[in-house]
Amino acid sequence: MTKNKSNDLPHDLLKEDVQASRDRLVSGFLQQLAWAIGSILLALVIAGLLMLALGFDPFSAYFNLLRGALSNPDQILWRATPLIFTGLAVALAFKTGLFNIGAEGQLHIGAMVAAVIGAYIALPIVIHPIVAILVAAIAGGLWGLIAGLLKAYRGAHEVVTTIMLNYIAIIITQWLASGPLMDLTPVNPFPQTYPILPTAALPKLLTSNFVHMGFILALLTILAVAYFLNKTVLGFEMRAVGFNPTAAETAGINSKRTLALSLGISGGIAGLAGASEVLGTFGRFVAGFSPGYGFDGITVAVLGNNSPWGVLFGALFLGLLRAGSISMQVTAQVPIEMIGVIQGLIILFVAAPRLIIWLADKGNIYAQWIEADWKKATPIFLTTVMGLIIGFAAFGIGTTQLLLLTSLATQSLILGLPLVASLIAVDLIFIFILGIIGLAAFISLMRGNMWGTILTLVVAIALPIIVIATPLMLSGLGPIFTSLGISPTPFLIQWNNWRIPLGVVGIIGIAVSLASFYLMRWKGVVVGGVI
Amino acid sequence: MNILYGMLSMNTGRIKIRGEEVHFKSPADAIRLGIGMVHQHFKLIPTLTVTENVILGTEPLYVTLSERIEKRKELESSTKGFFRRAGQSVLGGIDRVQPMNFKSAEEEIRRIGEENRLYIDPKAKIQDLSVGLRQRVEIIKLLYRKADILILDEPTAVLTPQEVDELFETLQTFREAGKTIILITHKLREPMALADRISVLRDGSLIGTVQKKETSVEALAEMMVGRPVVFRVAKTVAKPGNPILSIRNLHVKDDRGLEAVKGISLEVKEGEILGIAGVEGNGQIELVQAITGLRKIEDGEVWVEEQNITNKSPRYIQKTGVGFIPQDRHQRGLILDFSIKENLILGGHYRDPFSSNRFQPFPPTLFGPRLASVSIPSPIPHSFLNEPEIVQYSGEQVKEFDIRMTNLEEPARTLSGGNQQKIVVARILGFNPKVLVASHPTRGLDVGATEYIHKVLVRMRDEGVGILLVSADLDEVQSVSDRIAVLFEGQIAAIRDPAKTNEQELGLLMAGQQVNSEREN
Amino acid sequence: MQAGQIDILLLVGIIGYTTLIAATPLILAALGGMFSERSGVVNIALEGMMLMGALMGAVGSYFTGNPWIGIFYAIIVGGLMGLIHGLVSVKLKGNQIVSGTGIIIFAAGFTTVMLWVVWGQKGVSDPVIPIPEIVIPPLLGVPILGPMFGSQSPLVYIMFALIPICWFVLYRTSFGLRLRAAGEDPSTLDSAGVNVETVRMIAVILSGCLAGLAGAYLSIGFGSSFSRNMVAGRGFIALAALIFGNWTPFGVLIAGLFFGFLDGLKIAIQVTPALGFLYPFNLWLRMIPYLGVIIALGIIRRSVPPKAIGVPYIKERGV
Repeated sequence: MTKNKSNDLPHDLLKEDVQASRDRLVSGFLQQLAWAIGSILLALVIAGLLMLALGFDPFSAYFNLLRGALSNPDQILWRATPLIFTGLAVALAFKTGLFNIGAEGQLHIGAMVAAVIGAYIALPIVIHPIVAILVAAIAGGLWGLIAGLLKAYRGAHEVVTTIMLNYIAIIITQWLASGPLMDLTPVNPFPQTYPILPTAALPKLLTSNFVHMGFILALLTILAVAYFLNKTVLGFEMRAVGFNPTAAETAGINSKRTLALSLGISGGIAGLAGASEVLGTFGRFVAGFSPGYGFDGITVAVLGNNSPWGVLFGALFLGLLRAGSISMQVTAQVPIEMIGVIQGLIILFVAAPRLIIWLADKGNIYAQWIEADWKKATPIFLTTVMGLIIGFAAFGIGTTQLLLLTSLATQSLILGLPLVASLIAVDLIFIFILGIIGLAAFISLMRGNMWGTILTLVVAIALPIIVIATPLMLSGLGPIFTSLGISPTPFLIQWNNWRIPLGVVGIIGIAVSLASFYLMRWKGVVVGGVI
Repeated sequence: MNILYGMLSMNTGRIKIRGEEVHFKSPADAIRLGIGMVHQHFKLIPTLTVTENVILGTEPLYVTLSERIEKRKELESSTKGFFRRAGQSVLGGIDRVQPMNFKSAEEEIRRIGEENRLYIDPKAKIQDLSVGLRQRVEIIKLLYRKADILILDEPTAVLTPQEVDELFETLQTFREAGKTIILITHKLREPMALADRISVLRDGSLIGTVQKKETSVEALAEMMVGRPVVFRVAKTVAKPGNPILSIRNLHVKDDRGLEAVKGISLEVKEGEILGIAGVEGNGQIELVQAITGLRKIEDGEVWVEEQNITNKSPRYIQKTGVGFIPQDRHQRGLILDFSIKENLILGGHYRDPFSSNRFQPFPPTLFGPRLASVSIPSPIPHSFLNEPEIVQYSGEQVKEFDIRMTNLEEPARTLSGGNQQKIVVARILGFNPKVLVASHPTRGLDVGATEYIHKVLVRMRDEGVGILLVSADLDEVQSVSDRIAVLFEGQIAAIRDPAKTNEQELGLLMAGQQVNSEREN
Repeated sequence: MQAGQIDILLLVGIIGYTTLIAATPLILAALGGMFSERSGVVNIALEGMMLMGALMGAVGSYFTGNPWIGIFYAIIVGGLMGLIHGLVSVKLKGNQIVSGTGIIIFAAGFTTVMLWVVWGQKGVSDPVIPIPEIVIPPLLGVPILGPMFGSQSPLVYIMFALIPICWFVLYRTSFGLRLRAAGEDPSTLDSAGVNVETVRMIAVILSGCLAGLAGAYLSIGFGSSFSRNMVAGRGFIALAALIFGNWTPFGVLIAGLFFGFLDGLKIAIQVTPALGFLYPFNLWLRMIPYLGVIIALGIIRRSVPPKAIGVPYIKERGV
């Protein structure tokens, strides 16, 4: 009924002030958040495809990742603690327009200093960790200041110098831990220092075995950095230099001094990460204790758009990945390092916020539309993506379960159970039909007609049902199978692995297709003649 | 003109060349059609040699595979499509990694040079050449590409009079050789000396086209300046007091290391507006930057009252009471990603009352007023921003300067140009300067905002501030200033009383013409 | 040779040899970086590209038994990484340093995953067939040249051959001219009718190819297996060599040999029994190249980078 009103979309929209909408797309808080989440999703999808290509089961991997993380929520916080510090360090330097890859080295220096103070200096109970943390922060800050001074007054590129300082810091601390300060008592593959005194240890929080006071310190540091950047003179000047050095200079700000100080403060925060790990987790300096927290900090900062609270979001997300990675490795046999691949992909996507604009220039109608009117276009675009995912998911289930279910069906047939066999066969056919409908949904969405939305909705509803119904059916028939000597357990386990991811997919699918259904039916948004 | 050369794409309209309508996707299309352009800022790469700069984009090779095969293909058949294109790009790729035929290029450059009396050493690096020679390279580049429609954008802006004469001789010979020349210029005597027809553009629209024979410098000046004046600024007669800003024999170099300000001496008195008129690129930017500490002063001194501010840091100069409205509000004036509030205190953020040494751990927005008074002193003075003061102050400024916005936290980027400039002005005036240096304060603003800023300037003057107003807009200088200094080629050509002069005289002075009636003020 | 007595000639020969083997990957990668940076694209992704190259070199050699196919794989995968870096930072105008970091992190993760997938372990791969060394029998007896060139990987010779080739491409071909123009002043190149993005894309891909080759030298040129994070910052040292060498091929050669000398010292000490007394300072010796880079960049000289480096070329603004 309202079709006529908007038949000319999106072509008319494109003409109307495209540049302004481009600016909007690249800036703005909501879009930043949307872009961060979108990057994560894109990275997960591509990493999933990579896993498929390498012979892993991505559904199982993500499922176990999620399960591993959610069953130990305190591990997420524990893993996120050092990442919050390093993320803040990178973000703070970035606010001044500097790229601090050296958080790794700065945190090593901080960790070593904290370990030395913790182990060799006797102080009362509360004061001890505070002193250790403060001195560690100062040491890390001085380490960062080296690069800052070289950058500001000698023009040495901070990326190269901070990386070199990383290696130097790691070697120095390793030498200390394996030489002058080495703890000779335990038999340990890694060189380590003597344990810190009990007075210096950061207490664990509540009942957790992992989360320690460092997490609270990290939250306080977020507050402090947010306060520092927004409410202090130096923070104000740092942001001014980062945004527009020429204008800052015109306004009388000494940009060189600001640059050097920025890397110094950034190093100090990275030093806190080392101190908190040593005092809270390891209780001593262990060589190689950091699995690349400094680089993770870059991911965190990039993901959080360099804002202190964004860093919290990024660190929690990465903490979740790390917390779940062990479960992923153990159950789904996917190496932990896959997390690194995902991280790299996320950074690449976040670095390219003009992807949509580029696609639009390349003539992708959906991208053009999103660019012109993202509020209306996004749900329908998402429906298209969901159509694709659902289509492939349904199809994928069909093909992977084909052999198993057919063997079950033939076995039942051989054993003279035509009813069971036909039940399984119907189930199988149903899955296949769903897959085909899913693909059809995707195609008709690409063609821009409303059937696509409806089909997506149908599949999105049916998919979780069948994924839940099949194992129910199988376990319902379980006694029959077991009495005949066939065990349905392996099938059930497989179905269990599919269940949660596909359930999530289904729920999201229902939501977005309803949204786009609403838009199409009642707001009259139609993509006309796309292909 | 960039549109005609394909660097920018046009919105509407048509371009016809030799009767055929053309569409430019890139400069490559324009070059192919024989259009050549000398940009105002030379498109030369200083670290490369003359030859390299000339042949860039049309490098001569010993064997040109793609062209040969293309010709043969054209003879054979007209098979088009993917394979042909792919083949072409492969051949083109092979061409790109062949050695360049420097020798033939150098010979060609020498030949062009001899034919047109444009002698140049093909092996010299651009960075070692004078500006005049650089321009010669630009012209050789056009000839090398066999352009027959030449566009010259302000070709004389950077040349000495002798170099200008040489250039004009060259252009004359081109005209006689049948080439079309489009000369874009601000200076009046040039089209009169060279052109056959003159079109006057103002604010992006064509005012008129006249035959040279039928016009005069005066008539052109009138067309350029434009009548009638849109508005006049209501102001009383100035009451100048003591000199507050004195510039003594100032010498400043530009980015290229050439002397841009050649011995300017000026005095700005309390309660007067001294306008600096002149065609852009005559040393205005360098003068202003030297005063405000952004550019090194080679020789001479700048004093504010009794304080010598020569080569001091920008912050020191601002502390002595010099306010600066920069010419480019996006580059220098504002930090576009900063909020309105932050932009309003930028530059004064480290002073009372915007910052203090009190750390207030409980912001009143979260904890209410009772805890807000709790504060911890810090050893470093002015280390914490004083948020309530800033909010109150910027609220007042926004009201006083009528900045249209929805929220103080809004980034300056979202505002209109007029409101952005109001922020700059409000900020500078909020710090109560004794001297105000305003560089093109109304550029790109609409009439309303322009009028407002003019009013503010006059009000400041009446409050006793000495104002140095630099503007390329003659109307503005004339209507706002109390005295007008005309800047030409880094020197003060003349100082005039706006009441006793007119646009024609100023226009002539700006164009470097000597006016008979010397009336020094 | 008697114990405790140091044979100077042999020592010089060994140091020369270790300098060469340590400098080769640095110089190859730095040459790659040169193409990218001279065209105006910062390439800190060299590290990641080398890592991917090292992995694919080993994988190619492992599966085909022919190390030269490994080299080919390495060059292809390096080019692919370059393509990604180019897409993000040139086509999509993203932050070049962020994009490079993304590639480094991706490569670090991906290579370890592949180690697991291919060899079922995470530390070191199974031994693969390295590229056979070129042995020149008459040289073997010559004092200093003998250890240096008597038996040396062909990639070292390729590296030496690439220096003049790169010089030729950069300074004598039209591609090189356009590439240098893109890094100095893209708007001038644009006004000369050349597509800046295309030039930069090709340069970045080429850069990846060379970095991939450099990585392959590590895994199947000098060594005979791939190990986790085997590049160990060499990509960044290559970047420093590039800066120190002022972005020119012969400068890169000199700077690369210098950093290679620093990097090779520790190997020289390990293989020379006469220098055994230095062995306890092994960790400190490992630090020398990194310290050397900081001193070289921060204290010895300031280089002038290509003007337009790190700035994505956006047409409207570039005019």
